[in-house]
Amino acid sequence: MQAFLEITAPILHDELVEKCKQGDRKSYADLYQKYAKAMFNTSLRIVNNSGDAEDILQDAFVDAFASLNSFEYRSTFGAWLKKIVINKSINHLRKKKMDLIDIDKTQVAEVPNEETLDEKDVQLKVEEIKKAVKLLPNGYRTVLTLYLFEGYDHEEIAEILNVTHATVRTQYMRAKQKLIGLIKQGGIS
Amino acid sequence: MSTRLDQFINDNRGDFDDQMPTPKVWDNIQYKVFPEKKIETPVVKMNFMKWSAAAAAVVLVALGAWFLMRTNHSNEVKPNNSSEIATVKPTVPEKKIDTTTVAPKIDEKSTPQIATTNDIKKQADKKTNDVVDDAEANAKEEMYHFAKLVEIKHRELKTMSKDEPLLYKQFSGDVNKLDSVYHSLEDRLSKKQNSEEVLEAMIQNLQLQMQLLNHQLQIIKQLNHSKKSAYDKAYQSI
Repeated sequence: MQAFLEITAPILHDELVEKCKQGDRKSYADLYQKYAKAMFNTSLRIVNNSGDAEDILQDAFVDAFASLNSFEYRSTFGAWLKKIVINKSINHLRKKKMDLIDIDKTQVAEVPNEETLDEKDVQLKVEEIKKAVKLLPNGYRTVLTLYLFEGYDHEEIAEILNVTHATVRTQYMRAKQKLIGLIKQGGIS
Repeated sequence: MSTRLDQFINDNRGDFDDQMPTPKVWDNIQYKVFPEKKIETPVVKMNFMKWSAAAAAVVLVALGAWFLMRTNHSNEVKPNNSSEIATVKPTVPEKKIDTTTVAPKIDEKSTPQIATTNDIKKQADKKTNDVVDDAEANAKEEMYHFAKLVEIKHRELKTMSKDEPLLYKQFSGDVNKLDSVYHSLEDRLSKKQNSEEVLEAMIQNLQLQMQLLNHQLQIIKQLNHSKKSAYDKAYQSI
């Protein structure tokens, strides 16, 4: 059983990445084409500004290409690149001295239950969700997108944001509640 | 634990990634990752230079053929002048070397042309025995030919040295030194002093200029070649 796991464990070498390592210039362009759109949207959801997201995308690719030789398939290339994009996006918010943790000071860390999130009434449409995500405060938006869109779990988000697991959980609950509230409002107006 | 919102986003994940970055992002990345992107420009320049050099070589051969045809036609060569023509001969193979190194494509075309010019020369040599005429006119014609060649070479050097203005300055300085000597000889010729000797000296001077220019062109070609291989090397290492 263990032997079987060991065989399946290593990530297959990415042919495109290997060609880039050999200096094939077309493969660099292909690699960019493959990941640019997804990475741009990931960054855009966090920084909420397309100009900033483009700068981050550019920096992330330049850094990734520069350190491509040290990339050793501990994860897929896409996951590695996404981590670079997310770290750069969060650092961008930090540099702008934007709060990464939004705490409603009148109700300190009161965690709402899942049941209070009245999702059923909300018509879920892509455009409405996108619009509502944009309206969230920076801290809420970051935690929510990392969890809902990028598939990171609470522990990973806690590590990225350098906060406790509990804080992430609270933030996420509040963010989600706020998001549903915004979608509801948007639906009415 | 998966709620409806989570499920919806999961199911429609691709639709949320609908924004596209502008093309300038990739341009900037390329500029930073491949700083030697300029490599394209020298490559084009090289081609342009190659073509201009090839064109110059064609003109050179055509001019040589035209000149020899003219001498053959006029039938005005003195017997004692054949020695002078003999000294001229080595420059013809030199021309041949030049055309092959500058433009290998043109080689096939130019070689037969040179062969015909050699034939014409042989005919001219034969006819020298029964032709007796003015040496000065002939020498002047020869000089005109050399002066034209020197001019062409000079132009060729100029186009090839665009990237090396300092080198070009040095090179043209050397050529100009010889040229000034040529002009002083010209003055002496106009004063009719030892005209035959002066003419010979002038021809020798032009030959020297030709050799010098050929040598300089060779250096520049080598320089360009090493530059190109350096670029290639840098490009491969990325």
